[in-house]
Amino acid sequence: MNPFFLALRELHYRWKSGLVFVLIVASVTGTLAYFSVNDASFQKEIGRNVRDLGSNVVILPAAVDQYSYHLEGGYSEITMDADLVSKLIEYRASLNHLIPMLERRAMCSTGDRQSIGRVVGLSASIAMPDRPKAPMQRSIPAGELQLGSELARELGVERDAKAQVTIAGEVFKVQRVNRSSGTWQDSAAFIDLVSAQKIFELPERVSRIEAIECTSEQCEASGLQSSVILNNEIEKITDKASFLRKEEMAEARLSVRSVSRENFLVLQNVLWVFLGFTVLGLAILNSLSRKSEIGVLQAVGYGRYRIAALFLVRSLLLAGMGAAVGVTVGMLVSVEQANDLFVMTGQKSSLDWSAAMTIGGVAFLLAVLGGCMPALWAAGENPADLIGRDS
Amino acid sequence: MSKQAPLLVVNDLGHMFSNRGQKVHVFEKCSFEIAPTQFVAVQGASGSGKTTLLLACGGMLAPSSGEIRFQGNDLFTLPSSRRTKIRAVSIGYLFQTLELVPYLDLTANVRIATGVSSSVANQWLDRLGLGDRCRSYPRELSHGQRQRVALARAIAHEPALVIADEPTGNLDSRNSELVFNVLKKYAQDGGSVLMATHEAQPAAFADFVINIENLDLLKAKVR
Repeated sequence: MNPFFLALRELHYRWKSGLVFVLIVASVTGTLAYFSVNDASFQKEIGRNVRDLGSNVVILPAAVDQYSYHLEGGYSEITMDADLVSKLIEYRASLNHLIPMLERRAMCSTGDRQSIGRVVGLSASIAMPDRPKAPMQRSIPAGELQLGSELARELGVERDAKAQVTIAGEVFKVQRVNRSSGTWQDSAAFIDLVSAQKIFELPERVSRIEAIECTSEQCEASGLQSSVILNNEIEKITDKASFLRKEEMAEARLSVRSVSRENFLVLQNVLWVFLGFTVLGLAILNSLSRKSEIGVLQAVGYGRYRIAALFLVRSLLLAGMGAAVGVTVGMLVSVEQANDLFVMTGQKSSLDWSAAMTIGGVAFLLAVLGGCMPALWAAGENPADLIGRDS
Repeated sequence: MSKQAPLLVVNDLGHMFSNRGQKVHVFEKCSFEIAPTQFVAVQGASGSGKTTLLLACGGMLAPSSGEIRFQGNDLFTLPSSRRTKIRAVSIGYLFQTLELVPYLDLTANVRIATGVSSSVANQWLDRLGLGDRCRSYPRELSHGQRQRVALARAIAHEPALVIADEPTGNLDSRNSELVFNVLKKYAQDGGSVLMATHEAQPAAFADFVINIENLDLLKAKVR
């Protein structure tokens, strides 16, 4: 009589204990699957939130005196070649969301009112080729302009009102008046980079490049600080630029990411251990509680591998069913909940097939170990030592 | 008439175990032979070591000393896989505790013995008065009925040696007679039987009796 047939008969007879096995494995694998999808969504959400904090690296022309730059509120009229952006991309610098900017203080007028504003030309954020992300800064169409709230008040431009602003003889349609940010941006006007280069007669020049650092992996691997890594990279790319790191924002960004990551890792590791104990424990318990049966099977001539196969088939069937149900339900619930839990990125949440395969594979492997090992051990004993010795 | 080669040779067999640091000798220097077609009874009081002796003869319990040769093979110098094969083909064992598989019906319980088809299993069940219970499960039977199923499992693959540990312990006289008759017929047809029993007069059906409480006497009688 083959072990598969025996295993099916046994499962049919003891369906309640089989069901408990399936439900327990389903609960643990389901929770793991839930947190795998949830973790991915959470990381996306955190990433988006952190990104929206803004740039934390500023690349300036080397000639800029940083004392004066800060004294002026982060402003300098010294420019550098715009092709530094291409060089940074070509070198695959540890940066992302590069935003080249050209700025000048210039008179802005709306016909009856005029005021000096900080006019900033900028392009859409540029992602590194191997680090594609949704743009942090969208492009401003040529001929249009975004006004800081304080400059808009100076110029008498109301929110949602149609208005035009003239800068250096060029007329721009007001696309929108930005909400107050509490920074210099409230007294600025934003236009597209090419227009700024044209009206200020500085083609192919930029005042600075803002970016987000992507150095966490290199910091972990090399043990170097982020500023050292960036400094080394920029020194290799050009001697005509230097960089500023907004330390507090950079540290906050790293901290938020690592704390959230570590929290999830702890939770996931606990669940993995729990999965291990559950599947191994249930399978071992099953083998130990059937020592007598193993003894009888030996007595009638079943070898150790046939006996192990009987327990293996049982464990695999139950762990397989449990994992299939658990992973499916866990993932579906997680995806379903993602919209409510993650406001910015919840819609992008999707089934994680790689996690499903990993969880299912581990449950399967544990079932093999838990089913085979005790049965192989018991089958190596003399039948008389097993009969009547159910644990 | 030429003497047949013995099927089972037990030579100076002894078994002991430790109990709370004390060595307990179950039996010592037990020697006997069983030839094909012989029906041998093992007699002795409860706890005298009948089951231990039978388990050792069935290759299921390694004795502390001595040797057991079955069909010429020293059972406990063989690897366990070889012993398993010998048990599968040549030994049928009826446990005192029966040890039926609870999740198999009667036919399947008999079929787990090596090479037994459903029809053979059902024939044996029928012969032992359980022909109408083939689809039942062990839990649905009385102890006496289960005892007969265990006998069917021990005998259905037609082993050279059937070892039966008190096969009539819980049977009424009619069923006891049925079981004895089946075992006797099995021995007459070419098999050998080694049976532990509480019966008062085992000599009435056995070719010889081993009194496990008086093994010296046995040696003198058999050799």
